[in-house]
This record gives sequence, structure tokens and C-alpha cells, in this order.
Amino acid sequence: MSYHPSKDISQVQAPQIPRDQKVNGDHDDDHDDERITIDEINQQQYQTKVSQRLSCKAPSNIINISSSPMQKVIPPLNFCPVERHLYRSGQPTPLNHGFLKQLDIRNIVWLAAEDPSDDFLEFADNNDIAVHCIADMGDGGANPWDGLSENSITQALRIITNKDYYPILVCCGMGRHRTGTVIGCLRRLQGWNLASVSEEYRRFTGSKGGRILVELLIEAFDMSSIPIDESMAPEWLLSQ
Amino acid sequence: MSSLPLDNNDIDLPELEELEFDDDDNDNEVMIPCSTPLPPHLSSIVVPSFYKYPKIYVPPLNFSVVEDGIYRSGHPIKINFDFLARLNLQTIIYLGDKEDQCDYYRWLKNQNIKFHYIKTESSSEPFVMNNPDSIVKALNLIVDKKNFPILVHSNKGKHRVGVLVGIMRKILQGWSLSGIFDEYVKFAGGKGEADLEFMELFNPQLQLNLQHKPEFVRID
Repeated sequence: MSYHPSKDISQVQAPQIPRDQKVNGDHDDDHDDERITIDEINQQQYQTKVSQRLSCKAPSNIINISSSPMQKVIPPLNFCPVERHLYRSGQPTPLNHGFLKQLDIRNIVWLAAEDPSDDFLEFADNNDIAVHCIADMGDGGANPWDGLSENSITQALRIITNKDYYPILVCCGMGRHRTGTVIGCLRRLQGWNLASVSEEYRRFTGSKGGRILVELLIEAFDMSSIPIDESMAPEWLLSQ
Repeated sequence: MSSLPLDNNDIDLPELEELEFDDDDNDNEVMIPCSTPLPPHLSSIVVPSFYKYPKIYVPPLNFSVVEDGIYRSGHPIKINFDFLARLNLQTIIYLGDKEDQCDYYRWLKNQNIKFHYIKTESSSEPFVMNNPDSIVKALNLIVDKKNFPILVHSNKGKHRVGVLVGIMRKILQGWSLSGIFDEYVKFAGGKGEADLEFMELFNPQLQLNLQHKPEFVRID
């Protein structure tokens, strides 16, 4: 990693005048005005050099970046920002904890039928993150491959449309179908056209492609089931 | 029409009546403003609010949020303008070489959006590589919060924008390459193997003002 502080640039770009040409033999670098009397130096060229040096020196908060940060972060499977402070992904593993910490997540909406892994629950616990397990579990015939029930979708969206819960991570096992269903319904609430909602859903479904059942759930989603309270909704939802 | 001063004697009333009788089909349109003039503060509303409710917003192709204040997409066309207007964009960066989208340029002008056209030809593997200068130009705009919100678009929002976002993830955010490749492939869908190599090997020199550093940029 090599971030060069601005001082280095200023030293390189400072006008370099041979010492023996100096009038008065003044070697103090700060007395710039004394150098102007030297005939050999083109006045204009000199001025631009000074201003260049100043522009590098004056705002000392300018830094150069030439390589990536040493410490790598690993986004979870199928991770993507959805809107401001709202993210989606598959189930994070311990590899992703460093990445997740940066996002400063406060609430997790867990949509899979199975419980999240112990690692993940422990991570949430240690970082003061509330995990909302929303899918209907154990209620006869709830298979992992079944779609989300309407009730679960409503519950998830109630959290997402409330700015008190932000920043939020919405996730399920792989971050494909269940997460895709909820985000798809959110897009409908935002007024997106169905083709674009499906395009986004399929982007996250991997090589097997999208499921018709999920797209059906999104298409049939009843927007009036989510009353939006303007005082509680995140800003991006209101600019409709 | 609502502001017509009907009780003013200067107005030629017979002519107005004539108009009403001529347009039998549009009776309502003429009658409503005449019989119940809208209050002045409502006269500027063009579309009644109840028409607005089922309005559909169409994002450009491959649209997505990249980070807070940065969006990516394909080339916007007319049907996307209403959607984009809601994002309150300040800056749009176009990586591409299409120059005949007059509707779009007119809209940009009306919206008062700063438009940076960074001419970039589509890479044709493996002979025409990505243009490093374009990427650096775009990145230097992205590291300045004063430009936010920004939309970066190419034509289909796949390869050129994908490479830019990939380099941004690597240099500014320190993502692992596997995560970067996964994101790239999601949007590019199949093609673009040489782009992966480019994202891995290219290390641009950037200058960044700490005062205007976006939150997602990591300096450690």
C-alpha cells in the first residue's frame, strides 16, 4: 500500500533553480520573490510553477491513491445495495464479517425457512444487530423451496418501509428467491414496471434462472396491503 | 382556463358561448372551468393527483444502486426520464461513443444535470482493450462527494460500466477479486472474460481530497 502525502508532490514539483544563479546568494527557499530577478528564467513559466506548487501544497488533505487497501473485504454471496442503507445478500459466513461491519447494519430480515447459522447469529449478537426471522416455520408443509407466504412478505415490507430499522440487510440462504421476492415487491411499491423488477430478480438467481412462482408472487402482490406512513418511510420511498 | 375573468366586461362573452356549442363532445372540458373555477393555487397542477397513483416508473436497463449516491445503468431513453428525475441526480457520466440521442441531451439540459461525456469505445476482446484514461477520468469524478448523486452509464450497462465499478470496488473499497468478478458477471451475463483480467491488473493513480471523500472510500 502506498499513499503519498501531498508533501512529496510539492517537493518534486517545486521550481528548481540552480543555486549559483541566485541573486544575493540567499539560500532560503521561502524567499521566492528574490528569484524573480534572474533573467534566464521566463517570468511566466516561473509563475505557473509557483502556482502549481501552491495548489499541491495548500490543501494538505489531498492524497494520492495508487493501489487497493491492504486489508481485503469479502462481500457475502449475492450481495448488492438496494437503496440507501438497504442491502441484500445470501447467508453471510465468518469470511464476510469484516465486510458487514463496515455497513453498520442495525437489523437483519431473515427470510429462509431454516434458522440462520450459529456463526451468523453470534455475529449479530456481538454487533448489536437484531435478527428478524420472518418465514413461517414448522407450519405444515413449509419446505425450503416453497415461496414466501403473503403474510411473510407483508411483515418484511413493514420493516423495510420503516426508517427506524435502518441500515437493514435482507437475506436468505442464497440471496436468490426469497430475498428476490421481497425486494421485487418493494420495487413494485416504488412504482417500477414489472419487466425491470423481473430483470433485477433474475440477475440474482444464478445459472438456473428465475422461478415463475416468485415472479407470480411479485406480480400479484397487493400494494395496498402495505400502508406507507410518510413520517416513518425512508426518503427514497417518498420521492415518488 | 380557470383564471379567466368571466365577470369582467372586457371579455367577449358571446364568443365563449359559441365555443361551448361548437364542441359538443368536449362539453365537460369547457364547462368545468367555467362553472367552477379552480382556486388560483391549484391552477398550476396539470395532472390531477388521483391520476398519478398508478404511474409506472421505468428504470434504464441494468439499473442498480452501486453505493449511497452512485447509480449504474444502461443508456437512458425517453421512457426512463421520469424515473431518473426522482433520483435528483447532480452528475451523469457516460462511458460510450453514441452521440445522436437528442431527446436525452435536451432532457439533461432541462434537468440541469452536469453531463460528463467520456468517449470510450466498446472493447472488442482481446484486441481492443479497455481505455485506462476513461476509467481514471470517471474515478476522479466518483471520489468527489460534491458530484453526488451520480449516475454512471454506458449503452447496455454491462461491460464498460461493469469494469469501472469493478475497479472502484478494488481500489477504493478493497473488495476481494472474487466478489468483484461475481458482481461483474451478474450484470454482464456471460461475455467479458478479458474485462476480468483488466480489472485484476489495472491499478490507476488517483488523487482524492479528504474533505470531499465519499463514506465508502477506504483509506487504511
